[in-house]
Amino acid sequence: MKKKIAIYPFYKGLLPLLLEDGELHNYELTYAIVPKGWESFEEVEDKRKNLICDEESFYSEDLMSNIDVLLLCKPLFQVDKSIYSCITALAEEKGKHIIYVPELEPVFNHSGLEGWECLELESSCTTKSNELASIDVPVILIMGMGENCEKWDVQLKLCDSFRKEGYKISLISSNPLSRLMGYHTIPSCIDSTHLTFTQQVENINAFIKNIEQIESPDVIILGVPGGILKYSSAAPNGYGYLPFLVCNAVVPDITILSLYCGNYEETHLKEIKSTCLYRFGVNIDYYHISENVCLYNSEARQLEYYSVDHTYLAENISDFQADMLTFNSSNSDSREGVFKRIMRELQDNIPAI
Amino acid sequence: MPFMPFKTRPNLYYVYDMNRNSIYKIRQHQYEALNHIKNGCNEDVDINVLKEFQSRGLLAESPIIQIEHPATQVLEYQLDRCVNSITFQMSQNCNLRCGYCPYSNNGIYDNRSHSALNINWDTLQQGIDFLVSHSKDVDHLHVAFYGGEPLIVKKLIIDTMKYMLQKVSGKEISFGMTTNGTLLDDSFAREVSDFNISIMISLDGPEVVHNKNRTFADGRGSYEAVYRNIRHIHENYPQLYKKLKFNTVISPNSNYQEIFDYFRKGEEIGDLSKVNFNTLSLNYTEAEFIYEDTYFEERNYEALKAYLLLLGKLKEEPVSYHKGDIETIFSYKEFISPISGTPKISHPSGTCVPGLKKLFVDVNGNFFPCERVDENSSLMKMGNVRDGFNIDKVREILNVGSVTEKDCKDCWAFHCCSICPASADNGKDEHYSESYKLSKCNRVKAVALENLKNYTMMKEFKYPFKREEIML
Repeated sequence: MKKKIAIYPFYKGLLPLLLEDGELHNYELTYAIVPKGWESFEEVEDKRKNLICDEESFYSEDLMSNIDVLLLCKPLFQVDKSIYSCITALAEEKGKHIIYVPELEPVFNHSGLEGWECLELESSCTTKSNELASIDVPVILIMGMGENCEKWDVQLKLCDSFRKEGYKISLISSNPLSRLMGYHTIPSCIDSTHLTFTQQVENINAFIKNIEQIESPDVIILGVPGGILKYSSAAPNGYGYLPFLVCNAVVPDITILSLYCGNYEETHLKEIKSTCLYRFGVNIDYYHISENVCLYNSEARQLEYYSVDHTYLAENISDFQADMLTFNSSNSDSREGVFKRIMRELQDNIPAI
Repeated sequence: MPFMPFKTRPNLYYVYDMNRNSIYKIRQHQYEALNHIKNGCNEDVDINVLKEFQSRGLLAESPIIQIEHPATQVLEYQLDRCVNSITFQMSQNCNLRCGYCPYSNNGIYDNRSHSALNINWDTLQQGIDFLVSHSKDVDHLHVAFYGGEPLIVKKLIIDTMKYMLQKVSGKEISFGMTTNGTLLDDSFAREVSDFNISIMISLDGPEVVHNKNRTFADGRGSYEAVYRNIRHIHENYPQLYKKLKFNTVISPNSNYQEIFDYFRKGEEIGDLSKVNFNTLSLNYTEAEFIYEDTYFEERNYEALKAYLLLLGKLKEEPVSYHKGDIETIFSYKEFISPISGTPKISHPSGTCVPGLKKLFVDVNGNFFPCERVDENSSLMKMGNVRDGFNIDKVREILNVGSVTEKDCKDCWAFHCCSICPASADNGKDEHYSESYKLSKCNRVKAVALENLKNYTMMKEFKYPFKREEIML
């Protein structure tokens, strides 16, 4: 029997959990709790909208009694732990199980989390082999310019598209929330401070090989955490370390790079393609243009994000970008067009011309 | 010519490259050659020096083909989700009639006059609702109260703050207010002391100086009333006192030493760490304000101390006394971040996105880019609380550089410009005036050059510009 789960705070980046609710493994999404003054989700269709609940109503109607599990998430902008105090106190009072995403550990200063479950990355077994195993099923790699460029959305929609065609998928996701859907995550060795780079590469490779052997998928979809480049000297974006790690662990057959919203010139996309080739050894086959814009706020000294409407992309993606094989995950035509093209390429085992 | 040669000391020569937003150390003969070219000389020996730089990809011709602000294309989306601040004009009335006030009908400024109009509760609510619904992607919201004198409608301020806190949870909410301080009484201080509010009080210095301009309508000086209220807050509401700041307007012919000494001593009301010094605004006026050398001596003395503090050559004063100057020094580093090249479609720096970080709402609910613009200006009116933003108007205000495109494209100060919509608006025309905007350029370039020199001087002393090492 599935456990009833509520998510707090619910924000735009968590929409895949709402829209793919049937995919939640062991859980039934009961409430998506939105704090006062946050997103309105007017565009969500009615049958899913009834899962969205404002925080005040959640308390006043004693909806905590209707759930088994409270999932705490962290939005992309800065929050203080005080926003969680009321709801977690109530959850603990009513004996509810609390799960939280790893990004909340610094918010809570690593304290006050006793008794709660962290939705950690999967742990990987340490391999003694110092030879990389060949991955014998096609691997589709999804990388991103940085955080919040809809990589997760692309991963889930790609899974969905392949599954509808009858293929068996193993998703190794960049987002720990994928575990709620029964998917794998990139192994925790990527955060290790005591493994060498070589050991991390070998562990990731062994992890993927293990999944291949156990699950025998038709294709592996691999979401790469982090961004491919530093944004600026003030915003290092991980310096591209995690993509470099993963690209050394596996040779992808198809690579999708998710970019922030923008009207990219042909030369710019070609430069990005060259950078990925020489830096990571991967050939970018497709570009996903997300609806999210990333800006550096020099006063606050942080990266900030906002989203545009998908109609902006439809109206403003220029012709050459279509030829450069770009798509947006909200635009079903461009998205399915690219996904079908990927399937054909993999079926034919040669690039489609 | 998109470059500017300069010296910091007699034997140290540099050139600023606009295209790469970079500063290069050069030799004397190169400096002299580039200077000759800037002054219109076309001697081969000088041109060859320039060509040598250009052969290495430096001091290139301007690549700019169009002036357009990068926010132009996605402006409506940014304004839909990222507005993080709103400033309400609570009243167009004031109990003072300060000599230099733009609204005092003193013949200096072209602006509206004081009137009896106050904002109403509907407008405030609509403004707050607008802010909340247009701030989905921001984590910190700020609501500020301005005037006239906002404390004329104290209850509305309190009610607005309460309403705001009811409308949003999970985000940082802060409040601000600019006041003449005469109505900052105990009951108000008691009510606001629990809110996250910072209060800017206009205080021009010691009593004689303050009362020269800041008078009640009947001509009495306001210093005593302001002083009394601040001391009361200091003694009874220490937490609120910590959040007080002072805005000091220095008018020409003032006793500058007396003003600076008043705050330097820090005994009376506040010390230098709490004070912003400003000269009279040059917007919306044809008047020229002449400040004597003694003003610059005092002002520069304080600025010099800021530099010496950062370089570790001065230890007797708290760093916080020079917060403003230190922030200015650090802002050079943000401005002068080297780039591989200036994009073909660019816009001069200096202008913020109107309505984004600051949205000014007048008593009638009309939107303006900030509180410094002339409310009579039809160019600057960019929407209202009921209908929202007029995106086309915001776009025009934003692209202040486009009206002087051919001059800006080739200007060395492109990335150092500080001309903003308020300073480029003459208050009379429906659109920006090219000639009026260009009339501001010389002063802006002079300030930019001074900033370049100061930044370079700090780099000569190997100052690392590490913000985390300063306790401000």
